[in-house]
Amino acid sequence: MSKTMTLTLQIWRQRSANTPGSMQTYKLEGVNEHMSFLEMLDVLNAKLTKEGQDPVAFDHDCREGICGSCSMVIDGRPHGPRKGTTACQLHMRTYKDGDTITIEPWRAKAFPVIKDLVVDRASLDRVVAAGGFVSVNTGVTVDANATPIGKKDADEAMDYAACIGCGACVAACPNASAMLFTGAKVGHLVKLPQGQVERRGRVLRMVEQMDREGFGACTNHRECSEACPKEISFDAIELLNREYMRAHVTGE
Amino acid sequence: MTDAKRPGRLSTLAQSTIGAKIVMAVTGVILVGFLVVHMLGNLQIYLGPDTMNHYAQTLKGTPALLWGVRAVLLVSLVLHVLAALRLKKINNEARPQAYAVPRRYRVTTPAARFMLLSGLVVLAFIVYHLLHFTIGATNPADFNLHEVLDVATQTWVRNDNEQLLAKLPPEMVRHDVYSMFVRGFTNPLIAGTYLVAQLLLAMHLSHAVASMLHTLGLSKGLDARQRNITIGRAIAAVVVLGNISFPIAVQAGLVHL
Repeated sequence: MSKTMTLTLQIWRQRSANTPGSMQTYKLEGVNEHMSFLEMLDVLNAKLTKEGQDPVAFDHDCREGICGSCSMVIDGRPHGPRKGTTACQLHMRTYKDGDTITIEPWRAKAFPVIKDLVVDRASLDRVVAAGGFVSVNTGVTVDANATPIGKKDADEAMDYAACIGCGACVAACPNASAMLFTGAKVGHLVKLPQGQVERRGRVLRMVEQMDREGFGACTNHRECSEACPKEISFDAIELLNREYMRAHVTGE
Repeated sequence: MTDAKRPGRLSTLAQSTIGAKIVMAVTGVILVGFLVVHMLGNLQIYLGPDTMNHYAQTLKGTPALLWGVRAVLLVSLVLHVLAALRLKKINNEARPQAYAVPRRYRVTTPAARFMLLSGLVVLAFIVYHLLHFTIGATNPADFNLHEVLDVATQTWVRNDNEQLLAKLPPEMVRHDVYSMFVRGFTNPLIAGTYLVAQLLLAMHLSHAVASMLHTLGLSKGLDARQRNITIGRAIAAVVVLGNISFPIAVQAGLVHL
């Protein structure tokens, strides 16, 4: 038999990018412990809609922790209290009857609020577009083993490639820095042979774009990797610094 | 992207956030290096007036080295402060609207969060310290102390007769740093000021050293990172324990005139 609980929710409501927002309090009864956090918000929205109120806007897509859409700071922590867990994979059994939960959007200049809990994260896409790719002529698919890659490099590349671009690192950083994200994107390609050709220009252009978007700078608080739902290592920033210095030293 | 607009020159390095971090780290290495040497040099106070004053005399006797080091330190300090202020401005602007609910941090430390505050206090202290012990502007009576070489016994003797000092050749007069040091720390208010400033320096260094090693790409892996955090705290502790021992030793009467 599953337990149900009554929660007090304090949620950031903001009609549009240009109107000021505020925290609003909602009481929600009958929350099932097996619901995900987003399902709990679905229940709240069904109730608000029935009452003729505007439902809470929040980003979501796959609801299985791999798309990076859900983006909310729950009780002062991006994606909530559980380590290595996206908000959609957070379940209400984490909470108990009578709890008060606060929910607000990512806060960064580079992530303007669109509505309520939805922010525009196109800035991260532009950082990737600046260099987070390899240029290959399309054609016949090459054999999977045509390019041998050492186990260690393949593992590290995969660890960095696990980044889902949700922006929790920026949200968690006291400086709203995107260096963990950028480092992960640079790191995943620099570990692979395919990433070598554009290695130098990639890191220079991505950092330039990252700065242009108005993200802050890392001061080594290490909150980003702790908040990351994919547990990207803080090594990503160390790697980014090293690659950036190397790009300046090697020249062309 | 055309070649003319291609980033990667020194100017783009200097303008970038990572470039500013590298400036912080490189100047930080220089400043921490100086702090260690400065503390070790001053430990000679425990070896008595002659050793301490001879040390000071040797430093002042090699003006090229002395002023060379001072110039490097001044440039490092100015660049360190300017880069810090620039980064702080960028970081403040990166989050124009604060969180409505205070964030619950997981691993950061108060030392990391209040680096600018501890840094500015230490900067103010450096200005005071230079006025106090290097320029002698704040307590001139405790600063203008000299020793004169007694040719017969080949020993150095305190003598503050200004007319005599002016007449003697420079190699027969030396600054009585030992007495300046002891008289400087006899005032409990001054000793207390040094103690407080050193505690803030400890706070600053405990985050600074690990931070600069990380920025310079020397913290690959969890183990290396943990090791660098430990190294940083150890350096902070050694420098500051050495430094605070001086006013404490004078106040306790262990080092006296």
